[in-house]
Parts: sequence; structure tokens; C-alpha cells
Amino acid sequence: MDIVSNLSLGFSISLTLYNLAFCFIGVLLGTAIGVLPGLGPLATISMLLPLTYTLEPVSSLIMLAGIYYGAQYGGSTTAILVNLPGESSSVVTTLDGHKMALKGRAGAALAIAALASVFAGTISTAAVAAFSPLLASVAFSFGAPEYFSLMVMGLVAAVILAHGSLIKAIGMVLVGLILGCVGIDTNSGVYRFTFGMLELGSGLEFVALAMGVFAFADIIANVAEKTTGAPIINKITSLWPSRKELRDAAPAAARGTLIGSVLGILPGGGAALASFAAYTIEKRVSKTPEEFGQGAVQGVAGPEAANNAAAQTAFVPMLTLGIPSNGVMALMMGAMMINNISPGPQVMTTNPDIFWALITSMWIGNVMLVVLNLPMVGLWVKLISVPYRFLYPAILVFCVIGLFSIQNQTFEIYTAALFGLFGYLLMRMKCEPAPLLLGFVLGPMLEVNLRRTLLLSRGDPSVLLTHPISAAMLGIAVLLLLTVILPQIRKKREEVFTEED
Amino acid sequence: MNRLFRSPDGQAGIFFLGFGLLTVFGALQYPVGTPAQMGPGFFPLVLGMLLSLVGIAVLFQALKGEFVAMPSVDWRSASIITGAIILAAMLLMTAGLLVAIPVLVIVASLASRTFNPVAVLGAAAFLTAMAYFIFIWGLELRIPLLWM
Repeated sequence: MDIVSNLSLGFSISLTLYNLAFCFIGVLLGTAIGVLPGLGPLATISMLLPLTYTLEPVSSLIMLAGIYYGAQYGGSTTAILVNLPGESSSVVTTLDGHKMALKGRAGAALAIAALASVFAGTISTAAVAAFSPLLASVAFSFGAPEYFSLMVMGLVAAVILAHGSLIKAIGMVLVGLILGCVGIDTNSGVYRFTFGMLELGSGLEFVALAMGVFAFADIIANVAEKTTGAPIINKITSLWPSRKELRDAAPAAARGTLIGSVLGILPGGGAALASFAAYTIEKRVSKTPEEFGQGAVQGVAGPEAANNAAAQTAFVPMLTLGIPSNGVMALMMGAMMINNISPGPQVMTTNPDIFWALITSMWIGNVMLVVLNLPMVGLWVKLISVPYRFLYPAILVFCVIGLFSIQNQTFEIYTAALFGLFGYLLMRMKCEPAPLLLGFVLGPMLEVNLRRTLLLSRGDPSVLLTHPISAAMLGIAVLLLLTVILPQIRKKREEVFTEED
Repeated sequence: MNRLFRSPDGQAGIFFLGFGLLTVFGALQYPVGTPAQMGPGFFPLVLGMLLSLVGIAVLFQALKGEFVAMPSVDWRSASIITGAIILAAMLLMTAGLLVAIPVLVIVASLASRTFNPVAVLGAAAFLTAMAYFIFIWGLELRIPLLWM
């Protein structure tokens, strides 16, 4: 009965006109930026973070979440119609979705993608509602050593599942942790790494860092290439999939939902990884694997279900443990902290309204998304043809004003500009910025818990191993690292990622 | 030497090692303390040392692995975009929003490969009007509008 009362509490908040409006804005923006190839949820959410200072915490979280899962819907539209991934998670949708469009089945592909997404969204949100309280109740018994080990495990897992070089991802986490040290040390009151700048006393501004490395760096890297040429858009005839297409798509969507839900919960997982995994599995279970890449409907339904499911379940570790599993969740955590809500298991007891309103809003948002994406697909097609040369100045304008509004000063704009340059140079070195952000968000908590652990044990680090839960989590972290270092598994991992390229 | 300075791994290794050593040096300026009573320098000191080790490992990888050439730095885009942002920040407090935003749009547009003056001016006017309506009129943010 408990879950019923929790859900009704959630709906009573998420169904207010005010929050419905923000949910709608979120999914609308999410679809829009999903459709636009030059703009992803990371850049958009960091762009909108300053706004959350002025909004109710619930409303801002509902809106930001809507952007993330909304982007999964929008991304498939561009993938199918233009053969460009609107989002990193819709890369595989280009393979079969675009082939379907070339065969004149563009409408059917869009419909299958949207229906698979809404199915996955509904099921995985139920999973979030069911699992989060369980996980949170476990996390309640955690002390400082358990938290420290949990964060280490989370960071290790995030690094391992991340795309690209493992060792460089570890380096980026460390750089993020170091940047997180900037500001007044809470224990001693010493100004660390502030170089005499009073503005740095409260630490580097999260929004400035995120906007710099995601929005600005991305513009610098892409402006030359993306301002040449225009995309070719395929025509949509009918939106109705045939009976056979539906019959083929349904089991694929169910499998995709399952894979996506599981991979979304894992640290480092998230939408992109889930869609690749789902595609690989669909190809493997199919009786006609040769059809994949030629317009197989399962190749659209599976990955699209998976990326949407993962986009919802990715909230579980963030909401219950306070561990962000990917860059977007790090931003969501930042949004919560901006509103003085410290993420972790206590959110469910101290702010049950926020927690359950957010979850119920995901159902509402998914329903809105189907309506937004199917009948209104023509509108989004027009949006694809907005040239990047108009898009990026608009992004810059929003970022600059947003940065200014945080403290009504220009310091954050300068910080973000420098981080933009920094992020661009990092991208050239093939260093992913997302692990840096994870480290930055977790850094202060990691330090506090390490200090507490060692203070209580009088400097003896072995408590981390004598506490069973802590030892188990560190053990998992080591095992994960070993599996990657061992050559055979490393080869497999590379295979998975080369398929992606 | 190309492997070190001109490959992604080489540059990343140098960056990690350099940033790690700088962090170690910076952390030592603060009291380090003991594990049981950590000072403000303890945590960054450990992180700096770990990062330096990672840097060395990445450097080894660069020397040992296949040489991958990097595309040259796109200084044009980097300086125009960063410059436009910094210019806008300077103008925001001195000349006001109604000057800073058009300047930001026009300067940033110089980075585009296709530059159409009429379209850029139109975009500048449109975005300035949008910024005014959303941020000043809608959200009632307090931003200096014009220096007068």
C-alpha cells in the first residue's frame, strides 16, 4: 500500500498546472535539442542550470529530467530522417532507421521508435519507483567508510564503462577531484587554490565548469565543420507501421527495455551504452541477422526502447545513493545541490514530495512525448533545417546571460570561457570531459567521508576493509579494474566500442 | 619527440603529469597533517601524486603505442569563440546587455565558414530581443541594460 500512497503524493504534485507546464517545457526542449545534432542534453542542462535558482526545486528537476529523456525521443527523429545521430544514444538508430526511411518507411520507423520509447519509459519508471526505496533503505545503514568505498566503486565503474581510454578517464576523474578541492576547506577554514580570488572561496562554480567543458568546448570543436553544407531530409508518407512491423518490433522493445533498465542503473551506463548493447543483442537473437543494417525494424525498436529505459533508471543511483552514473546525472545532482537538497538516501525521507513528484512526472512526460513526437513530427523536421551558424550564437547568448545571473557578476563568464578553451584542448587529447565532471561533483563528499573514516579509526585505513559492505564494494571496484586490464576482456570491450564508431 | 608532443596520448600524459605536480606543489603550501587529523593539504596532495602517476603511465602508453597524428589546433575558432565570450562579459557590466549581446553574436559569427552580414545582423537583433523578453521581461533578472 505504501507505494500507492507515495505515488499519489507524487501525482498530487506533478499534476499541478505549474509543474505540468515545466514538465511540458522540459520534454519540448528535450525533443528540440534531441532533434538538433549540434546540441545535446549535457550542454542544454548546463545552460538551464542558472534558471533553477529562481524556480521551485521540484519544478526545475522535473524540467531538467524531461530534457534528458525527451532528448532520447528527439534524437531518433534526426537519426531516421537525416542519417545523423541527433544524440549519441541514437547512433545505432541511424543504421536501420535511416535504411527504413530510404525504403519509404520513414513514418513507420518514427512511430516504432516513439512507441518503443514510451513502452520502455513506462516500464522503467515503474522499476525506478519499485527499486529506489529498497536501495535507499540499504544505503541508510551506511557510515563514512561505506560511503567512501561506494563513491570509489561508482567512479571506477563509471570510468570503465565510459568510452575511450581507461587510464585517461581515470586521469580525468582525478583532475575533476582536484578542481573540486578549490575553495574554503570546511574543516580548517583555509582558502585552497583560490590564488587570492575571493570569488573562488565557495569553490569553482559548477555551472561555469559544465558550460565550459560541454557547451563552449563543443562549439569551438565543431564550428568550422558544422557550418558547411546542409542536411538532406527524407520525406514522411504514413506514420502507421504495418502489422508485421509491429509484431517484429514488440519483443525487441521488451528486450530493449530490460537491457536499458539494467544498464541505466549501473554507474557509467546510461542511454548511449544501452542502445549499443540492445542493438548487438537484437542482431544476435534475430533469425535473420543479415537484415540488420538493411532496415530491420528490430534494430530501431530495441535500441530506442533501451536508451529511453536507461535514461529513466539512471536516476536510481543518483536519487538513492547520491552517486551520479553519468554526466547528465552529475548535472542533475548539481541542480539539487543548488537548491540545497543534498542527494542521497535521505532525499526519500526528507523530501519525499520531490522524489515522488519527479518519478511520476516521468510517466506524464513520456505520454506528452508521444503526442509531441508523432503528430507534430513535421514541426521537428523544420527544426533540423535550422543551420548551425544560427544555432551556436544562440547557445552562447543563453550561456552568457545564465552565467551572469548566478551571482550577478561576470566572474563566472570568464571562468566558463577559460574552461571552454581547456575543454577543447582536452577533447583534442581524446580525454572525455564527463568523468571530470563526475569527479568534480563527488570530490568534496569523497574528501569529507575519507576524513571522517580515518578520524574515527585514528588514521588506520584498514577499516575500509574490515567493514564488510565497504570491503565488498572496494572488492568489486578492484574486480572491475582487473576485468578491463585482463587482455581477453579488453579485446571484447574494444569490439563493442568499434561497432559504435 | 613527435610521439610525445604531437600525439593525443603524449599531450594528455604531459598535461596529467604537469597538473599533478602543480597540485602536489600547491598542496604542500597548506598544512598536510596526519591521516587521523588531515590538514587541508592532505587530500589534494594524494590526488596530485595519483594524477602524476597516471600521467607517467599515459606517457609510457604514448611512447610504446602506435603513433596517431592529431589534427592541428583550430586556433581561429578557439580564439574567436573565447574572445567573443570574454568581450561580452566585459561589455555586460560597462555598456549593458543591449550592447553586449549583439557584439557577442556578431563576433562569434565570424567563426562560421559561411558569413552572411545581413543574416548575422538579423540573428543579432532577433537574439537580443529574445534575451530581453526572456531574461529581463519574463524572468525579471537584474542585468544592466544600457550604460545611460
